[in-house]
Amino acid sequence: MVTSVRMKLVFRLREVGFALPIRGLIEIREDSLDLLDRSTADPDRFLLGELPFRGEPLPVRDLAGRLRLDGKSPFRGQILLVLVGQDGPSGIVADQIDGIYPDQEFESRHISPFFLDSQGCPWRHLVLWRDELLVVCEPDKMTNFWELP
Amino acid sequence: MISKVALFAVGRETFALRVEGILQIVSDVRIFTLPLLRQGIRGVFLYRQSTVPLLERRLVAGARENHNEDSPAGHCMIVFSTDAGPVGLPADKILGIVDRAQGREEEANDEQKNCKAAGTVFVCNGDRFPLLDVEALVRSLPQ
Repeated sequence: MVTSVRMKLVFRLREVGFALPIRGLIEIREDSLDLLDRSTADPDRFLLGELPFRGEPLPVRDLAGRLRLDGKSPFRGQILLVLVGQDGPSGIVADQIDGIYPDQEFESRHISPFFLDSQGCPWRHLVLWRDELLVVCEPDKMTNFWELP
Repeated sequence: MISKVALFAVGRETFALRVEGILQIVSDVRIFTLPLLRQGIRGVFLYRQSTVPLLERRLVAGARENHNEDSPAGHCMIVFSTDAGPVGLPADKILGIVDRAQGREEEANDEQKNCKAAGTVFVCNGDRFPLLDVEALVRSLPQ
């Protein structure tokens, strides 16, 4: 019998912490970004390029750019998170990974949408983890994430 | 019940605020940076079970000063209730809380209106404190 493990990966991008339910995570890779084919890059859609992944091209997206986080290079972290997606797997680049923790460590927190950028803020949920607010990263809701309104 | 007014400073600017909307004045709070908040919001902090946006200093005090948004230690936040939810106002110093009867309200001059004071100042002991309309401040947040 297969049971769903209720845990979250905590990762960091610039000064922001994120919580990613591991049901949305396929794989973590380090140093594979050297193989990135940047000829397919499309900055308007936050596409950094493609990587070979299980015989298929894996689009790698610039999450920091999409969220307008400061930073000189989208490749600062060199950690690739391969995520589940409605249109197939995709990759994002993280600066740092803290670890994987049980859901019981995370408490849901609310912020009024009024205070979020009305021009397409792609996140809505927060969790409190060890006295820190983290943005919930929801790969299954990222289909239109990369298209600016 | 006697209505009261809180007097506080942000940089070199001083302001008045009706105490009815004040939920608490807190210090030593941790400010979290979140992506894609509306312009004019410096970050958020935790207050009880709420995630409270902190307004930027320049939004409160106007653009006349070169405000350092990375507030140094010792500053406090005034947690204020609004229709959109609680918001935090930055404050460097709480000057006092006085009865409204100790002063009077007058129309603000043009310079004070630039400080989002909604056209009114609270005059107390000869000093003029722009009376902040926090609902108007929140409504003025850029899209």
